[in-house]
Amino acid sequence: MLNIEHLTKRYGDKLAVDDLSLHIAPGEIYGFIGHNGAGKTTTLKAAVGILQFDSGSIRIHGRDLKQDPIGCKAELAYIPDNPDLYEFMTGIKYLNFIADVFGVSAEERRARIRELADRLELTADLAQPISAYSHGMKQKLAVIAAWLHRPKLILMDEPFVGLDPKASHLLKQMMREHCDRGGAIFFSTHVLEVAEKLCDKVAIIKQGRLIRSGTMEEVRGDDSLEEVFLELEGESC
Amino acid sequence: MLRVLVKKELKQILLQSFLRSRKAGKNGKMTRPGKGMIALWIFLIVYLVGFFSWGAWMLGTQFLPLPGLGWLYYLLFGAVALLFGVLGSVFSTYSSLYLAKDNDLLLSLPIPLKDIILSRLSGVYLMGLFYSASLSLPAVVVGLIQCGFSLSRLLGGLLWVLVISLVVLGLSCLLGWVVARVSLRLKNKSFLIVLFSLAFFGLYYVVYFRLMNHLPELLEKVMGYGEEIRGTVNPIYYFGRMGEGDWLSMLLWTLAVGLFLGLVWLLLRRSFLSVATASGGGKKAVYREKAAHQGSASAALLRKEWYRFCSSPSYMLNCGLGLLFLLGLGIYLLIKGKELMAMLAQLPFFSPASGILPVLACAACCMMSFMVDITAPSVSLEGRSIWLVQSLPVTAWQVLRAKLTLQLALSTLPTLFCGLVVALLIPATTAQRLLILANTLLFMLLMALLGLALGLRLANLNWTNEMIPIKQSAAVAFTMIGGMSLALAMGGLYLWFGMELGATGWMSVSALLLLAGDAALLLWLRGSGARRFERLTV
Repeated sequence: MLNIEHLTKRYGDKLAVDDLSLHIAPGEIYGFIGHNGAGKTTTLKAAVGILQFDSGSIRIHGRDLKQDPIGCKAELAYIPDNPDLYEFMTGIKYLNFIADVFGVSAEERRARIRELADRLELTADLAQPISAYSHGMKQKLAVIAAWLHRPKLILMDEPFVGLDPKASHLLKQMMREHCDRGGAIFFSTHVLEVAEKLCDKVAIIKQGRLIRSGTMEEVRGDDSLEEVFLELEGESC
Repeated sequence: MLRVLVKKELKQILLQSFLRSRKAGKNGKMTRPGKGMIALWIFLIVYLVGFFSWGAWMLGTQFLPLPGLGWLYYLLFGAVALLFGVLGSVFSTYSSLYLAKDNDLLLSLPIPLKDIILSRLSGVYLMGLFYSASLSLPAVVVGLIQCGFSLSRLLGGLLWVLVISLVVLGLSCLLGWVVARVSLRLKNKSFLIVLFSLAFFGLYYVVYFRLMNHLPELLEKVMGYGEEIRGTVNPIYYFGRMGEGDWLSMLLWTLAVGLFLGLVWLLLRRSFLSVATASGGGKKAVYREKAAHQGSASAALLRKEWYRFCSSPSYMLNCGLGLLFLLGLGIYLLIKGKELMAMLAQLPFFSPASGILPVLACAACCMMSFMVDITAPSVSLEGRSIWLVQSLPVTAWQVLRAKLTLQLALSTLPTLFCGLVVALLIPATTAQRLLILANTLLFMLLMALLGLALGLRLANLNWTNEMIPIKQSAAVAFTMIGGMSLALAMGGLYLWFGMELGATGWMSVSALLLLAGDAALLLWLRGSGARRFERLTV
């Protein structure tokens, strides 16, 4: 579903991502962990097509991102670390905007908005301007918008930040359901317990380089993910 | 603490006017201003100050040599400076004072409230000072040159500049406060705020022009009855005398402005916290499911631009005011056009043989159009949510085209209306009438394209207050100054050397040049401009 090959990205002299390769198959929830500034967000943004990279290639569902950016973007959804949405719109206008851009039919969007908003308990607030939303409500709206057009691949940067425990639980459920339907999810997180319980595969990045990746069992062995992560980060447990 | 906050506020305004967002892949948060950008800003300031200095010089030669009438020079120029200053800062005060994104952050820190308000006011004051002093400062210099230097005249002149800027600040704060109070009680407030601001501005204009209309009468009385009559218009008289360095006038006006600002300060101090932290008035809107309609991606992008425009009174007022001027000019000419034409027919300068009238009428329509600059801040206004359009399956050109379409959709009818009225009113040949229309429409298109191109070149996505991209950005300043220069050149250069071509020839050449400019900008936007948009990052 997502194939990243030898991705390299520099900011001036600083190497943000260094020859990173990752392969995410349909049905997989792939966690991406690393310390602050390790290159997670840069990798995610490059995979979404909103950040130009220096070398390497990214393919989404068989399409090359540089050759066919629109085709690739039509297959994916992205939730950034900070949900900076259009504050001048109401929640429902924003969802209709996203649905129009992705060509979701009137009937389908109505059913999906109803289902997703009810599930995340945001229905009553859809007529409110987004500027009046709390961080958690914006995050919920971003989740609904991401799921609205049934993308094959969902990329998320710290998706649980700002969500209440119930919404976090729901999101985890939704992620699993999405992958059970044949979709794939690639997300970054600092919450190692979540990654450990939720992910099929995990990748650890340090200073732009992928230092370990694979199934959860392959990465952590007999230890906890936290122990492995701290060990790899060069700290004693 | 206050010094730190004021420094932050001023740095934000000054630096963010120069800074541009980096393109993806570039190191550093923002691109520092290059020599070209600084040169452009210097040109802009020299241009404005030069233009107003010329005006001051012309007015000074009329009044300053006449004994006892120097005060009238300062009164007239001061009134214009006041008008310009209020126009420049009044529409931004509400946003600058109460809607800054870092209000919550500052209020959560152990900073005295008065320091926060004063720092915000420093930004509002700077804008008012920039606009008012562009006129008042050259007037003082001209006064000193024409009347000779004296310490009292210098001090009086500088105090006069200061007083004008402080009155501008006080008036802007008052409107900002009233708008804030009104907006707390309204739900869909953007349009009402626009209407209210326009009403205030209209009232200001009415009072201002009534005052100006009475000036000849005043002048006559002053010349006829001298000191006796001056007593009846004391405050106005003292305002002018202050510029001349009269100590009593300086003292009285300093006290009056001090009192006025003191009252404004009390008002702001008592209401700031409740207004700045208000979460909106009215009942919470309840969502009711309605039948949804599927639209195209392009239509969705255009709707998004429309929502953005309508959500911000500052955006509507600062970038769409020209639409009202276009309509206003058209309506005025429709009503008073025949009288105006009859009056102009008396003047040999406007004789049909000179061909001046069609060209100047065409330039006047363009002068109204240059105040429509909706596209100029539109790229910067994407701000931190630029990731959204960049991650959606739409091309950068589709996004840019939506911005362009909004301005054209809003300005085509008013421009066409104004152009048609002008073209049908003035004595001209059919070809000239058609050329007036063509020039006006091509100029309108050029303004939209130029604004978008400059908005892309000088994009600044890191702002804490929407007034920065809307009013204080380099893109907006250069778009407006570029449009104004072009419109002035269209009329001015004809008088200089275009008359040899005749009105038809001149307007044909200008239409071709505008067409070429439109085509070049369109090509750039579709190619390099779109690529630049794809790479913009916060």
